[in-house]
This record gives sequence, C-alpha cells and structure tokens, in this order.
Amino acid sequence: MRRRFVQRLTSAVVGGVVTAMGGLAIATLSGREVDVELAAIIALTATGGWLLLTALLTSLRRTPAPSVTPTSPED
Amino acid sequence: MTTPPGTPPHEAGLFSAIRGWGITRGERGVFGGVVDGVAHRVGLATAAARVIVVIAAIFLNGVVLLAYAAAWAFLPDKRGAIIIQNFGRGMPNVGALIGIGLLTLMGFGGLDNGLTYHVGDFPLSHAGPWRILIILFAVSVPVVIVGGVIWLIVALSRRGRPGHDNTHTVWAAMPGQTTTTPVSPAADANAADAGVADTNAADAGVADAATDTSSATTSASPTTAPAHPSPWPRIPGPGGGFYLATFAWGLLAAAAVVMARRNGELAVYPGIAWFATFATGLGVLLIFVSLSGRKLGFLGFVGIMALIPLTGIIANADDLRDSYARHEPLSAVDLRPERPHRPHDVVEPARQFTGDYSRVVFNGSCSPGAQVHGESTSSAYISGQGLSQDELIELTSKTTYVTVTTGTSITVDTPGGTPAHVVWPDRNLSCDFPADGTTNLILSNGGPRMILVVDRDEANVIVVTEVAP
Repeated sequence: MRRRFVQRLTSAVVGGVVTAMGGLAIATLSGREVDVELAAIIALTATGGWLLLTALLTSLRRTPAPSVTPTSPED
Repeated sequence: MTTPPGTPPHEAGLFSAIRGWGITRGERGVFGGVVDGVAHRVGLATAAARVIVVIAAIFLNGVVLLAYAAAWAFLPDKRGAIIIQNFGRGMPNVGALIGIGLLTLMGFGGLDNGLTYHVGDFPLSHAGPWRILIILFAVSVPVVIVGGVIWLIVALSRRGRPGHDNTHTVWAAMPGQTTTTPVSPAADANAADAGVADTNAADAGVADAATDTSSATTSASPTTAPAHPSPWPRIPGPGGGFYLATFAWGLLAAAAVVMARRNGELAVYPGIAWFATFATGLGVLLIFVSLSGRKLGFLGFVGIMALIPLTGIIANADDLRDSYARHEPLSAVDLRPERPHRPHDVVEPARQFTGDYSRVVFNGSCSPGAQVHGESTSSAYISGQGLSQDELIELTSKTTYVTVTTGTSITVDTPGGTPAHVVWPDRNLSCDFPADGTTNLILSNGGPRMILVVDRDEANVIVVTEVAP
C-alpha cells in the first residue's frame, strides 16, 4: 500500500524544507550574504503555496457522490 | 468497521512501548496536559505537580522545556492519539506541533543559561574548534542515541516478539474506525480506585476512537490479539534502498569535503561542511522517498532533527568562518605555492613596484617567495578597494589579509618597536621591516592612502593581494 499522489506531494514538503535549509547553510558558510527576511518570505510563500496546491488537488480529486433519484412505488 | 476489543493496531514499537507506560496526557492541561497526565499517573495533585515543574524549569531551564516538548509529542492523550504518530500518518495537529516546536526552540535556547547544565558559550563567536566540537557532540550524540534506540525498538517489534504486554495500553484509532469497549462500569471503578491515569476509560472508551485496556485485570484477554488484518493499511518505510543511498551520500559528502580541504577551498571546519552537505542531500532523498509513496520513517526523523543544528549553523555562519580562519594553520590558506625559501637571496623590491607606483620606499630587506613566519593564531581581512580618503588601520590580528586595487597607496608604520613582515603572494615577494619607529614602507600614487600601523608583536604579518582596477 502506497500513499496517494497528493499525500506524496504533501509529505515532500519535509524534504523540501531540509533541502532548503541545507542549501542556505552551504550558502552562508561559503560567505554569501543572505537576506534572512527575504529568505523567510520565500520559504513561507513556497511552503504555503505548496500546501495550498496539494489542498486544491485533494478537493479536485474528490469526486462527488452520485445523486440517487428516489423511485416511486408506481414505477 | 468494528475492531474486536483489545486489538493492538500495527504500529512502530516505539509507540507501543510508550503506550505500555500507561501515561496519558490529561484533558485539563494548559499545554497539552502533560503535567496533568503525569501527575495522575503518579498519584500527585495537578497543582503541586505544576509547581514542581515550574521550579524545575527555573533551575534546569532548557532541559525541562525539551522534556516537556518531547512528552507532549510522544505521550498519547486519553483517546490514544500521539501527536508525532498522527503527524506521520498525515493527520497533523498543527496547533500542538507549533507549540512543541516553540518549546523545543526555547529549550535549546535556554540550555546555556541553566545553573547546572552548561555546554559552552553561545553564540559561537568566541568558540574555538574544541568548543564547537563539544557543542556539536552535545547536540548530535543525543540525537544518534535516541535514533538508535528508536531503530532498535522498531527492529525488535517487527520481528514479532511474543509476550508484548498490553496492560495499561491505550490504542489509537484511525478516523472512521469504530471500536467496542469491553470495560464494564465495575471494572472502570476498580481502575479508578487504583489511581491509574487512564481511569477515565469509560469517558474515553465510549468515544468513537478509543479502546482502553487499562482495566485488563477484568477484561477478557487483551494480550491475545486475534488474527485479523491490521486496522489501517500499512505504508512501507523508506526501505533498504533509500537507507543505503543515505549512507552512500554521507560517504560521498565526506569525500568531497576532504577533497575541498586538500585543495584549500574550505572556509569552515570539515565536520560542519560535511554536515551541511549531507543534510542537503538528505533533504533531496526525503523528497524522493515522499514521491515514491513511502513513509519518511527514521530518515524523516533524522531530517527534522538536522534542522536544529542547521539553524544554528546558518545563524552563526560568519562566526564559524572567522573561527576557522583564526585557528586553521596558515598552510591551509590559499597562498601561492611556496618556492624553496632562500633567506640570503635579497632582492631589489623597488623594481617590482615602479611600474604601478610613482613613489616607492622600502626600508627593509626582501626576499623572493611568499614566506610567512610562524604560525597564524588570528586573522583579519581588509579590503581597500574604492578608498576615498586616508584610512588609518591598527593591526590587531596576527595575520592581516589586505586586498587593494593595484596602484592603491599603502604605507606601513612601525611606531611601537615591533618589526613588520609583509608578503605579496602575487609578486612572489616577502619583506621584513625593522622596528625603528618610522614609516618603513611607502607605495604611493598620490591618492588616498591605507596606513597600516604595526604596534604589537602578536599582530605584525601583512599579506597584500592586488587586484586589477
């Protein structure tokens, strides 16, 4: 049993955060000046956008239940 | 779906073991009900327990906060829900996770302020290599130990060892799953008399997501799970392939760091460089694990734990670089490869500078080669590019690296009786200036000057790098 596609995208956020933090660490250790506020804005936007995307995908993939028309006894 | 009573769901052994403790978070708590639950478990009044915790927090600072965060994350509530476990199952309790995260950050931040727990001087600006190593060990060793214990528990539980004790265990249920409650009112009353934390089994048990087997003494046979399918589908962990890939990435990262150090391209300690490289690759592997539909498992735990030291590294990157520059021997500094030193081969330096400067004064002796005497105990870096007016700089570090545009006026004064040693690696020239209290070096084009004052024995080495305008 594997996770569904949207669940996979959601859990990928953890890996994305770790990757971003690692990259940021490498950049700062290499002597690059990092705008922390800008980095925080980008990180929050990316994470929020990612989760929003997965939420939208979840709602889109949820198919509505078929409507059942009650039948009369005469039928 | 109806689950027979006392049926333990299939879960990691760690959570089974925690449930076996019989400690559940209370429902009247302030932050997650940890103190309330533990107090009930040990038969202590909640108010008294809170006072004890507050006093302990005052004296132990971060340790108590970290323990509280861990208890909040790992202890089940009355319905058997564990915050961390539900997070792994894709049912995050966002509010609780934020609270746990804040407590964790506050706990780590308070570690150094404790009266009894002192690992070093934060921030790392005053830390030497040994102290940084100690701090890293103080963070990484517990993580490794906890990870090893978790791995051991999971491994043992997956072997299906018989004799697992379900007494006091509160099992969680997935949304939509219904369970029956075998607890009779009498049995519940007995449990309440015993002062067990989960004596509210009747309250919790009638809920749609709990089966309390704490009253196992009167229930049928909670320890014998009938053979039937697991209550929810089992999602595989990362698997051997991803674990092996992680190990391989660790080795490759180590090789890359050693190679960089060999080439003199490292600006921080190799261990820190390796960790940052490894964590970045681990994050990429976690993305692949997620996209393959697997649980992050232990790799996810390691990745999340790695965020803590990564945050510290990012916040103290400049200090780490400075510390490395101060303590690393000059042999690792990227100077031009030295030629065999010939101390008696005195050269005429003026010829090398007359093309770039209108006035050249050398009151000292020079020799070919980028030789630096002694071991550098501290370093400073100065850029003189774009100099608009005279700038007086008193040297305070053992070795001062000066980068200037070719043609920038430089003078070196030795007023305090300290000889100066100046090296031009690009010109393959080293000069010693005597301690006679005068201006011993003048390279001038008539523009703004960088005046370097050598006044201390422990700060008298200057390495000048000229760049094209």
